Amino acid sequence: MRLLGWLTAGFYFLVAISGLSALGLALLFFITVRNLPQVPVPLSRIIEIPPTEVFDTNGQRVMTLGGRDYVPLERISSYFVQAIIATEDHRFWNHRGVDKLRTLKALWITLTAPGRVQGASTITQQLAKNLFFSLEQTYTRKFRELLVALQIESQFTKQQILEAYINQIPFGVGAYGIEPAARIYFDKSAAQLSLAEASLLAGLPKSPSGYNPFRHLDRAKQRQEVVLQRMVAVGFITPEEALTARSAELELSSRRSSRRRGGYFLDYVLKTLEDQYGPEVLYHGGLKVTTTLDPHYQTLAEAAVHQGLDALEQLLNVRGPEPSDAQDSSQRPQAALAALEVNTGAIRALVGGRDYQETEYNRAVQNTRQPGSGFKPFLYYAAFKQLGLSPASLFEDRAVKIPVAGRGPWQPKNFEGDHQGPLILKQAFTESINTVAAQLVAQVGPAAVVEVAHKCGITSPIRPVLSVALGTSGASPLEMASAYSTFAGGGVWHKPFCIWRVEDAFGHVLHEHIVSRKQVLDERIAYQVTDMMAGVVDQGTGNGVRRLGFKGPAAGKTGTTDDFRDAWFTGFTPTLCASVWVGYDRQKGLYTRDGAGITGGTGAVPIWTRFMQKASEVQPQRTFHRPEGVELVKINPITGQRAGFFSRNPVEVVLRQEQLPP
Amino acid sequence: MDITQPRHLSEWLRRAVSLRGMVVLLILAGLLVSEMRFDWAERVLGDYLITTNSRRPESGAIWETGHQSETARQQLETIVADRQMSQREIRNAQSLSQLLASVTDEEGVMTTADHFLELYFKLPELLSQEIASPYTLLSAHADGNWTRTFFEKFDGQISLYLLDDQNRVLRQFTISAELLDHIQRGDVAISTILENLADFADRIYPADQFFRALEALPEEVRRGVVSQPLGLLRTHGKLVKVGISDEVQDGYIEIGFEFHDVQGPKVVLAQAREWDLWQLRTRLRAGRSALAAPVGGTP
Repeated sequence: MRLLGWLTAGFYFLVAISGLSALGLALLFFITVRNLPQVPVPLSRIIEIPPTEVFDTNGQRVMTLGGRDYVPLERISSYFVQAIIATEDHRFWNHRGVDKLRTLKALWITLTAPGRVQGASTITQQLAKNLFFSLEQTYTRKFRELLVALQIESQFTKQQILEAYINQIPFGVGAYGIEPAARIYFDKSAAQLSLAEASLLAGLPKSPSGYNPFRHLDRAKQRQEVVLQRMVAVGFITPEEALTARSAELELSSRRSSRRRGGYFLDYVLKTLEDQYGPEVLYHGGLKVTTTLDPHYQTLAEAAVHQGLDALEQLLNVRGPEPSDAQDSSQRPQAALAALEVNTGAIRALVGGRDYQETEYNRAVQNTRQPGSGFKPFLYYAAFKQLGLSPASLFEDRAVKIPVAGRGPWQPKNFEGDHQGPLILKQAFTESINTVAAQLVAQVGPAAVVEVAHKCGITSPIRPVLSVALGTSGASPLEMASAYSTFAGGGVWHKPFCIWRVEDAFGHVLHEHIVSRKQVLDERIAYQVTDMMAGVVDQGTGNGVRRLGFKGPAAGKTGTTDDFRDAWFTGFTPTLCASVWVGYDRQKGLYTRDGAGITGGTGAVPIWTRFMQKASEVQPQRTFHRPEGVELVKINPITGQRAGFFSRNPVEVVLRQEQLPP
Repeated sequence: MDITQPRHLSEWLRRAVSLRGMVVLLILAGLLVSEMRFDWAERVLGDYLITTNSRRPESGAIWETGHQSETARQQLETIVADRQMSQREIRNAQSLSQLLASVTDEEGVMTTADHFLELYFKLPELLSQEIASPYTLLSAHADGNWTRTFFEKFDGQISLYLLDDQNRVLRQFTISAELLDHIQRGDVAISTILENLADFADRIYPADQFFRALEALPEEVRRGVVSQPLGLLRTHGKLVKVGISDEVQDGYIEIGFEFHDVQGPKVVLAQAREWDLWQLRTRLRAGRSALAAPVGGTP
């Protein structure tokens, strides 16, 4: 009887506890309801954010930001719908937002098996979580999520819920919703997915990066197997169909590589847009942006940089780590390339490093490294303009000691270490003689060089010191390309730009670029410097361009800094200008295994040539425009006078009318 | 209710299977089974939540995105409205100086080719020719590609581009800072002397005579004759002669002020109201007999 007494007492106790719990739950419900998020009506509003779309110069869409590619349920492969239901919530059509049996089972496992947590979220609960809640795992959050799920179930049809869910689940690689996922992974629409493809995609939401088939195909296939088994278990497909799907060859899209193409360029576009309009407008404004990106040039530029770096690593004896080994990647040399159109300033290609996936640091724009002798064109222009000198002016290559107020004298050395004695300025330029550059900067003054560099488009601060002649102030490859194209364009500077046009979602024009030209240099002197730069390519430090087989008109200048930390080549054809930088991210010299240093001629010229050779194939060949009032004259390099019949090794120089020798 | 402990098993059983107990049990079981079968609790709660929906906060990830979209939409609306207003102002500009006033260092101004020509024609001929040769404009017009004109400020100068519908630059002109100043003041300076300008023949007066006559007139009339006296004061050099044209255009007559400075003579052109200038000329004629004959004139 005593036992019966206890049983009775226990029963009443349970009833009391249950009553109190019910009361507590009711109280909690009414408290929670007040702060529960409002559910938007219609539910499809979640995908109504207009995407910002970025187009290349040919009008092809290259990137979409924000927004969702919404597809109605009827335009989604039934295999996928079945696969996602079988995997995520096979009683979806029967429950009212919460699967009670599954929840009780999960609760039992969670309570009885410590450490094991069983998930029981229905599709509706997952939708509620994705729309309103953070990933924080708390009982309060779960309760709120449950309540919102109940409301969603009461307010919308099952089709609407499923459609909303399928259009917003994350599939990795920036794909939210089935349509972009199908496009990215299989380059087809959601309606065209086969059973094999649908089952693979249905497995991804559990861990989009862990099952990313581009990176871990084996894991993705294992997950696909689980999905197929679930489909068989639920009765959606037969075991034979599952077997066929399992063994089907998956043709993953090659878009993965094209998505990466132009990563640095697109980053630069986004930064420009963000500076102009702010992040809200950029990511949520539904802009239509037409860029100057030329996909053909971009592909060529990326290929040239990769090939150039591979070849360089062989010279340096650096073994490349695996792409995922981000730490070690800093030990490998990097390169950057910026290419722009001479006549407009339109940036056609931008490569900011070896691999955008590996490092997003854009060395073509953000990296201001010393350009070394790459600064000499500004010096020579200043000297020609201010001192009336010409490429035929005679100087002496000798040891120089230039006094500097308050410091010891400046004694620059030649790269080769020796001296050639008397020579004309064109020779000094093509052979990059530092002692002559030092004499010139001492005469013309560093401020004049700085002024020319700024006029040409170098926007980075430049210190007006004597060593500016040897490029001791930093500049980015984009700045260098912009500055050199001023020479290529006969002294006309075009502001470099990456965006042609910006429209809002309704087609209102917000910005359109007008190609304006500023005559910042004397056309004739700019041509004299251009001719000297052509000499660099033909006979000077940049003659690797010719040795590697580039035959068209070209001009440029190499640059190498102290201890071989930076190797540059900036050069141009009459239509396209490109600047290439090679070096380590850390201040470390580029040396071959034999201890020889990598110069602009050996490190950067091959990349420039590979790019320009291919890029020029699609361009009509033109020559540099020769302005009125200049003449080509053969000069005796020993005397600086007009070459006579018996003069040895005469040098052809461009002289202004008033500089012509008798 | 009997809450005492049952003393016997029979009593306990009697109580357990009492009608009241069974009814409670059946109700509870019925509720449970019907809930499992019909999900009525979920329905009731869901329906109740729908009624509270509009009173609940717009919070959570989706609403944040929505708010950001709303902010973006408002910002874009402002940008578009500003742009449209500025375009309207530009379209409504009645003079080139009005249009050029809209050009800032940050942003250029675009107008149609026809509108530019309309403003160009309104300028005094000498001034318009300083900006762009009418032959060049004629040539661009004849090509049929010139659809728009873009103005941009750079280094204090205005660059003027004739564009086709693809925004390609067909022709480019530069309006120097000095010329811009003249346009904004409504006058123009050209390097010459008044005697070389046929419009002023026989109506050239020494500056002191001109300004003595002007001083004798009421302030309002003086403003009608020389609308920008500060502009003239700012002009470098010594003001030596003033010429008056005899051609009336839209109620205005051109007058020329000849300055001499180290760079040589120059004539600053301005426009005066016809009626006010007539009053001045009456005074000048009246004073002619007492004063010297007009400079450069051939009586």
